[in-house]
Formats: sequence, structure tokens, C-alpha cells
Amino acid sequence: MMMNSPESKGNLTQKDALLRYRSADTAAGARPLAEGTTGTSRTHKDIRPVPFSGLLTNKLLTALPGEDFARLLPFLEPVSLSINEDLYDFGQAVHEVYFPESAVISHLYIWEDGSTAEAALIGREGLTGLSAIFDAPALPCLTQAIIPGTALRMSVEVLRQEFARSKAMQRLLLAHAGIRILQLSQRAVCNGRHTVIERLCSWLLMLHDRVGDDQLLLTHEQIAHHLGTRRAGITSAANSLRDGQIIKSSRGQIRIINREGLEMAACECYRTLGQQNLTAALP
Amino acid sequence: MVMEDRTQPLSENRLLAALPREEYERLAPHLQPVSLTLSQTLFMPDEQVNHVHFLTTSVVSLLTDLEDGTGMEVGLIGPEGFVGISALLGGSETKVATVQAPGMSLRLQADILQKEFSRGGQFQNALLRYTHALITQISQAVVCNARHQVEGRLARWLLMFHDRVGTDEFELTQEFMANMLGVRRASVSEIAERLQAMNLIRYQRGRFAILNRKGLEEFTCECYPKVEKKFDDFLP
Repeated sequence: MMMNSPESKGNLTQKDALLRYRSADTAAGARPLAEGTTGTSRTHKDIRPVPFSGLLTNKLLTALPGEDFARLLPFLEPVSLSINEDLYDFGQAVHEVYFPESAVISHLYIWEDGSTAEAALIGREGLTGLSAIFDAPALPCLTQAIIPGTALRMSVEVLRQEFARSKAMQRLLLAHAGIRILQLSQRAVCNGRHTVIERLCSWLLMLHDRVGDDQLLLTHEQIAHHLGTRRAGITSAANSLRDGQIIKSSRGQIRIINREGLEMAACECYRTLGQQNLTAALP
Repeated sequence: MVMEDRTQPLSENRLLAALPREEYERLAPHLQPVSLTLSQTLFMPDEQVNHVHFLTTSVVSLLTDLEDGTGMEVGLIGPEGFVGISALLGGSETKVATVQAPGMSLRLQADILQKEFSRGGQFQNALLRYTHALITQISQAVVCNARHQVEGRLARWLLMFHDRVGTDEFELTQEFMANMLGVRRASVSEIAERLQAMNLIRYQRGRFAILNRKGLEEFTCECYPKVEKKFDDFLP
């Protein structure tokens, strides 16, 4: 039934698109690039280890029984993720997982014409690298931080051993897969049925939940890349939220000044996508 | 020594066929063949799933519904998968599962699925790989719905359906089509007729015939070749 295509054409065109996407953006200066970059995003090889703050906020890790967590602790390495930094090489096997702390990570899809859209948004309620733990091929997308910050990095091998050994870890990772499916399903219907302004509100709320800061460093261009819409649409939606005293929008940043108003303007999807709701689904 | 005969797959379901004979035989007495009818609902949101279905000749869609009664199809499951993933992942179901092509499934009690999964082995691996394949498929629906034209999306769903149903002619309800495209029922025929005008399909009152599979593959949005054409790679 399903065909197994031996050709690697798909990957090549996707890589071409990736390059075009990067160079177009850099030329226009549209996306703020990470410090020290010279036109291409930094790759995971450059990700900086940082001292551990001592405050553990990732919900998957805090939900583990003390004994299980103690076993993992020596293998968790705190790192700092810059904006638009690729955590994995595109299309390559995944060797590390990241448990976000203050960083928010996004799965960004790229088409042949260079346009993009985001599928999953992963913050402190989850982890990246599920494909490797489940022994499946990597997703055909980029994994990047949309909000820079810290995460805890760990080798896939260690987590796979832990998955086989600890029932608690198994239940948590399976529940996380369920949460991922729930988030994605809601975003699929949201993208198909809801207006740009509703989607923008839900998305800003999702980020706000995960970041815990009213100030989000995002350009309209970046938001458009993630929501899969035109920049003009984002600008006009942001302007009407600004006129309604819900956000302040200035060059390269958005400040949420009326969270309640933002919730009112969001579509019903936020009720599913809210971090509270997603975390409540953990065992 | 007697060589194991693997020319004949153990099951028409891809996940079960991937099992070593020993694991399959342990499950077999618990697999109950059931007949699924068109538009039958297998479960609704918030339901606890007591049985899962390993599909053999039927096709089931997963729909996320909205408060106003509209919704969108987010996933399609055929003989490559199983329906009722919340039995594995925990919690209750969050989607509506509806039979879109009548046929057979192998029904398994949720507690037996869980017990067998805990043993590890190939069954666990097959279920985990399928879970990720479903994540891959739904992710593609998210980004496709954000950007792609309705005709390209129809071509993608028709190819996905064709891959799973195994016949060139099939029936799709208007409601299913409206929900897979995110349009009103009234616009469904008009969109299908545009593909018909290109001689890619024949469409009459809900009955589809795939006339030019290759042409559909060329016309579909990139989401089909990116994930679905390679769906095999995602499966055990």
C-alpha cells in the first residue's frame, strides 16, 4: 500500500528551501539572529553549557519520583539556547533530548518556496526528542528556540534506558506524547478554522504561560513565520490588539498589558492549549 | 530445522504483522474480528477507551471538534495503525473517531494492550513507533492547514485515503469532506469538481474514483510527499 520512495529528492529540495529561507531573512535583516552569528543560525555544536540555577521548573522532571530523578540528575546538563538556534541537524538522527526550563522550543516546518509554519510549541511542560526515545525517524522540521532561555540536555540513550527501567518515566513520557497529540490536533483545527487575530492571541497566551514574562522579544516577521501567515496580517492583528489596550507592540517586542483581554480575544482553542490544561494531563 | 514461513504476513494489520510469531501468538486469542460500518463512531471526546481497534480493511478518521459543531479531521488511520491511542498514553480520548471506509478490524481490550506493552519487546516498539507516526501526521496537518490551498489539501487527503483503502473507487461522506477541508458542506462538490476538471478524479455524489494517481501526486501540496509518501519509514 504505502510507497517507500528510495529517492532523496524530498530532502534535497527541503535543504535548498532551508538555505533560501535563511539567506532571504538575513539579507532583509528580518529575524534577529543569535549573538555571534554571521548569516546562518548556530547549530547545536555551539550550545553553551551554563551553571545550573538550582530551580527545577520542567514539569516532566518535577513529576518524577525523587529516586528516579536522583538517578537522572548526573546526566542532566544545563544549557542556554539562543533564539533560532537549531537543536538538531535537519533530517539527522537525534542524540539529545532537551527539557526546556525558561526556553520555549518550536518545531518549524519549511516549504520549497521558503515559507514556514510551526507545529508543536514545547516549553517547561515537556521535552524535545520524542522521536528518538520512541525509536522513530526524526520529524521533517527544524527544532529551534522561539524564546531564548535555559534547558536541561540529556543523552537519548540514558533516557531510553530509563524509559525501559522506570514505570514512572514511562507513564510520564507516554502522557507527554498524549499531550503533544492534543496540542497538535487543536492547532490543526485552529489553523483551519480560526482568524489570524484569534490564532495570534492563543499563541501569545501559550508563550506567556511558558515564559512567565509579560515582555516577549518577537518581531511581526517572526510571528508570521511561526503562525504560517503573512506579516501584514500579523501587523494588522497586533495593531488592533494595541488599539484595544491588550498589548503594547513596538519594534521587535510585544508586551502583554491585559492578559484577561487577550484571553477574551483568543479562540476557544486556548482553553485546550493553555499550559495549565496540558500539565493537568500529566499523571 | 523448520524455517519459519514469513512469506505470508501474520496479519493484515501492519503493526501486528511486525511482531515475532511468539508475541503475535500470545495476542491472537484476544484479537476479536469485528465489522465496522460506514459513519460508525468508535469513541467520542472524554471517553475512557475500553477497546482499541487494529484496522485491517477499514479506514477511520480522527476529528477534533469545536464548540460550534464544526471541526477538522486531523488524522487518518488504516491497516497501518490502531485506533484508541489514549488506551496506551493514558487519560481519556480527545477526538472523535469515525469509520470512513467500512471493513474489518481486530479488537483488543485496553487492559491486554497495556499488559502486553509493559512486557517490552516488539509490540512495545511497534506501538511507540506508531504513536510517533501519528504525531508526524498530525503535525503535518497543523502546518498544511495554516498555508495550503484547499484543492491541494483535497488531493492530499484523497491520496492518504487511497493508500489506506486499497481500492480505486470509494465513497466519502460530505460531512467528512467538509471537515477534512475546513469548508462548509455546500462548497465540497465545487472543490471536488475542480480536481475532476483536471481529469485527476471522477466525482459524483460522494463517490470518488482515482483516475490519475500520478497526476494527483504531482498536484498535491508538498505535505503528501514529505510525510505520507514516506509513511512506511515511520512504521515498524
